[in-house]
Amino acid sequence: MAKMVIFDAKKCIGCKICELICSFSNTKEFGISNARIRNFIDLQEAVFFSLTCVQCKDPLCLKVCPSHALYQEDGVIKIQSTKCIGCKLCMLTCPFGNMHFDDERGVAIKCELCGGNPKCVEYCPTGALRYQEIETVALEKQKTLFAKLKETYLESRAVWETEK
Amino acid sequence: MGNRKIGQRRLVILGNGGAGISAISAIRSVDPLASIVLVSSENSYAYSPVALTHYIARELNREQLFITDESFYKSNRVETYFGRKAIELSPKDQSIRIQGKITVHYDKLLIATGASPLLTADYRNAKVLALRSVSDADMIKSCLCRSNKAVILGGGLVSLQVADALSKLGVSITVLVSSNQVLSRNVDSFVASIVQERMRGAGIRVQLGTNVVSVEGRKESTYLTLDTGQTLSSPLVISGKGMQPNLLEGPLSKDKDMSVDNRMQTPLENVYAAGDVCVGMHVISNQLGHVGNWPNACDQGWVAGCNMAGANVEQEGFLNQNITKLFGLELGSIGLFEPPSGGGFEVIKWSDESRHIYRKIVLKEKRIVGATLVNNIDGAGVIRNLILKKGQLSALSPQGTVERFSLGNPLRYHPMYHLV
Amino acid sequence: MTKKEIPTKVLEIDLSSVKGTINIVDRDIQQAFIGGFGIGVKLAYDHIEPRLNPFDPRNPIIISAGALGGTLVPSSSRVAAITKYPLTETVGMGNGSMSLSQKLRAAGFDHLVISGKAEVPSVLRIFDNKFELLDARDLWGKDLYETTDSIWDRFGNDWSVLAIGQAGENLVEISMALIDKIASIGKGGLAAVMGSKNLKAIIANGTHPVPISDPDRFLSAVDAFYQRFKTIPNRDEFIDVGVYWKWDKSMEEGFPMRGGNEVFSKEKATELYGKDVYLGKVKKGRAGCPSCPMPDKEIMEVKEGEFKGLTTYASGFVGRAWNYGIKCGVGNYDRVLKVHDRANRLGICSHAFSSLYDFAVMLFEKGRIDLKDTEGVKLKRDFETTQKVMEMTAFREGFGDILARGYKALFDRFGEDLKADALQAKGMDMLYEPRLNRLGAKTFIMVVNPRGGQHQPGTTPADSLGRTVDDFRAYCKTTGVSKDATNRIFDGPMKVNMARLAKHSQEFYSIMCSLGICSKAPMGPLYSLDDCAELYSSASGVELSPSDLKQAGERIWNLYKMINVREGFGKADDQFPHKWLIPMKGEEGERPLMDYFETKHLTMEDLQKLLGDYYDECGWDQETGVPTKGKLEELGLYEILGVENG
Repeated sequence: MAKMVIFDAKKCIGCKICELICSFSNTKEFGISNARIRNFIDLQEAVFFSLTCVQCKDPLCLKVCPSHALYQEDGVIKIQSTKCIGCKLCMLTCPFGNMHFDDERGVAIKCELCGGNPKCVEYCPTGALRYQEIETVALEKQKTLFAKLKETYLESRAVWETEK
Repeated sequence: MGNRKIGQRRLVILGNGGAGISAISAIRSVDPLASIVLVSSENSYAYSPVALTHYIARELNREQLFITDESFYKSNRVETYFGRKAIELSPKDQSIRIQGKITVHYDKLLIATGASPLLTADYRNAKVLALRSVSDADMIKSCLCRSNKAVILGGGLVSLQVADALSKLGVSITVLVSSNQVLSRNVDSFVASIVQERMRGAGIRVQLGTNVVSVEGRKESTYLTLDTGQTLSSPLVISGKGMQPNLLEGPLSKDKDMSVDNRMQTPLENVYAAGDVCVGMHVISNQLGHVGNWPNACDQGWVAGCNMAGANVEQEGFLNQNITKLFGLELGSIGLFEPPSGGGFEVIKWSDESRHIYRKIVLKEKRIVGATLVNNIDGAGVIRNLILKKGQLSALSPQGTVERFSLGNPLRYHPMYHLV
Repeated sequence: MTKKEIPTKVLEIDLSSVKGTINIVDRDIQQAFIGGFGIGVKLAYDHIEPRLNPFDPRNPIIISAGALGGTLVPSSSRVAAITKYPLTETVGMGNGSMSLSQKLRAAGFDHLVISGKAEVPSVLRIFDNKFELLDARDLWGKDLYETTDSIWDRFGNDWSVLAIGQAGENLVEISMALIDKIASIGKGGLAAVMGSKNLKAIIANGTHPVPISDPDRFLSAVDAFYQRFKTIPNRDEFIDVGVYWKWDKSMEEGFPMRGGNEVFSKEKATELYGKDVYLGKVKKGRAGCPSCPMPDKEIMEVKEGEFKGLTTYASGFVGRAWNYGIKCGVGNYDRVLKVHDRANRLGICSHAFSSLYDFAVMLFEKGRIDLKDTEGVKLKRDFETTQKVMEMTAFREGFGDILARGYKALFDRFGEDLKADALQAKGMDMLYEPRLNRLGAKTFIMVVNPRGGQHQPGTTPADSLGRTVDDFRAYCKTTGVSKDATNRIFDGPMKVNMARLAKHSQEFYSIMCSLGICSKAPMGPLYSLDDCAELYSSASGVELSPSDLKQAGERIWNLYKMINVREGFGKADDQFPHKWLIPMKGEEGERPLMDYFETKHLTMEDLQKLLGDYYDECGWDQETGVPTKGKLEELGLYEILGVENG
């Protein structure tokens, strides 16, 4: 069972530290467009969450790449940048929007778990991001994560659910 | 016949394109023991047509095009017949006659022979080129060695992608379009006008509402007579006027016969089809038709392969989807780009002129049925997935109303809301 | 090895002609003024003509992102807004946070100098090396939240939005702006200055990454800081409840009320506005600024009753409870939130309004002003009247027009003798009460702050009661106070000379604001001068040693002071409120003005002596309270500014 970065919506404070350290680890600069993890904010609903590649066991992105630049190694989906032709079909395909693009280099970029020690998890000040195993297979993996998110979200925001 | 044990099944794939090689990977993921035979009319390893314009534009060299090599077929234990066209299908004895007087027997067959450019003999004789295969691309490149001028026929995606590639090389280009806008099958007139403006800004001559009446090849050039009376000549003329499926002789020799269900099964038992060659149910319009694009080919090939190998996988349906960069414009187009006449549709538009951003979502009864994205493709995959899964918009916004749906904010249509 | 130096970019915009110029700050200037607030002060010196009417189109608004803005440095989101503020007529620095600093730098700019006046109500939009002035007539007249939401709906909520409400449009001098609906900036009328320029909002976004000169060295410095950060005890509690984690401590000090004459009952405060109320009925969520691991912003929602469902934002519920519940007497938490929500929407500073209203009610109760003066409004501390007067203030109607112009307008209209009863400095309300907090640097500095009655430059351990002398020694050490200065500070019967300490805290504050690091507890006090020097040098490529940095802090503050001297301010404006000398009435007896360690009751003589100590420590003239030529020379200001010594 591979480990993955999972997210606890109750703990996120929207500090963006995950985006900042991700960008910096990969490019030595601070640019959100270079972050492989993205943080979303809904101030009104007090919902904050970060999302990064869920390392699908049966990845759609891999199947669609016309230059076979995407590959899977020990459960982690990686990109061989030298093969990437910048067509963005992977971005069109990822159902969670977790594939990103480096405009400067013209290649797709994604979370590769920092070689096993994900920085976003290390630097997250509240423990909203954790790196651990999830016991499911194939596409169920994504569903469980998001079922968890939805549950957490609804739990903490029971009010709006009942209001039409 | 079908009495062989699963592990000894003989699975034959016709076509070494996106559908074909996806099928190989799919089969092996389900059944490591079945025997796989691959027949391809091309005498080369697999490549994607998506990469060809990058090759023409000199962004890639030829070697970089190929996504399989000898080891791919070896490690997947595929028996290969390269450079042999599949000619006739005999379902009675479950066999295929291929070039070289060879007969290949199958337990399950996948027809993934793709499509070829629609080019009549006249045009071919007049030296008009097309772009589908790597040898097409080679031809275009060699023509470019002798000429810095090109005329492109058609305003579709392929034509414009070729125009874009050639304009990067500084070629002087004229594009002749039959309809009154470019990309008439992909975007609305507003987006088309943005694209046209960019093209003209790049020095490309765009002539709309123009048809070619006759073609003639003389010396090293092609001469075109237009319905306006004009005549044009160019040493390089490329036609992007659609594809026709590479059908086999036999019971599935007509286009409409090559229709598949959502398990990629044709009307013939044990015969599957995938990719540009086949006709399927469009997930939005519920109409039968070709929807030839690389993602569909890969997806369909995968589903076909799984089912051939004994798994039971379904596909959501055919979907038109593209993402491309044309003349500096990022363009994503999925599903319906304009609602058809009749009720029940709603269109949400969002634009940021200063940043040349334009996004349009077409909804039917709160379901997303189409999206056009210009210069901001945030959430493209999310939208595509919602279209495929027939996602309900009312589940997306906490406010529950379409009016508050802000396309600038990815949170509003994030899959978190559309779930399980 | 040549280090990569990161340039500082300034975008100068003239709203009248809609033209802009981009300049790179000279290296000499960068080295002398660091960045952020520091360079903002230099820009203010260059661009703010002396004695301007704050509503003159020539009065520029200078927005400065901290030098470390947009980076991983914890709590580095601070942004400065320097202009001539109408309430005080001083050239002051307002300070805000949330995402503006990060987004401005993502757009490729570090500073904006905005002058002129737009032809029609507009939104200034900054992105990727460009700016655009958008017609915002449809937003004019909308409240601050609606404006921000409208902009977010239009462009996406990843845009940073600094917006004003109707109060700013109406040139109300106690108006302020909000960044991203939460972070206030520019109390004293930044919003009014914007209103006078037809500027409804300033928004920013971009795709430029913020570069770092020496990434490895930088990350080491950040990591070293993080190790120290992780030792803060009970961090989870702060993340959960914010300042309520020290509720007991706040109760020790108590909340002033009734015009600063009395202390509110601790029991009642806990019952009405304590932690249980907060957690059970108010808290919806917590929010923080980008890069901050200790979020201190509140997302609050009324859980029941008349205003059920009302969602609003603030830097802390406690402050609002004090402003509206205690000072204005509006009632329970839900009414507190309702009034605060309206204040935010109108873009009126809650501290300023509640202080002025409390003061006005006191005057009314004393009979000092009457129904004729208030044009028929019976001033009372209750929900209805507070709301009514707030509307009048925002729209400059009747008596509200006087409140809209602050203490100075009240003195002007009803008599200078009212000053004796007021808690203000240079026309701005004072947030802290030394009769309760003791006279520490925070309370002292409100008197001498060039901006007005604002306390932040005086951040020291004295911000909380119960500290030891060693705590102050440690503070001096971490902020790089010299041995000689240390000796002066710890000399004397009061154990710590808070006035002398204030000189050093204002310098450290200059540095922190130039870097864009938040001075607020619990993060600010964790930073040392060495941290600042290391982070700045590795990020910018301009090497500044800790002592260079401290001197730069002093230089910045002195130039800030000199700009205000140029405006005509001097010792005469550094006045202690007479009210401080009158003990407050509390439940457990009287609360007189005492020094921090409670060695004595302070008299005006003591205060004046402390003022003298402050000027002495600063190296300023005792008679005039102005930096001496010698001091300015020492700081190299003549040389850097290219000005004749004279």
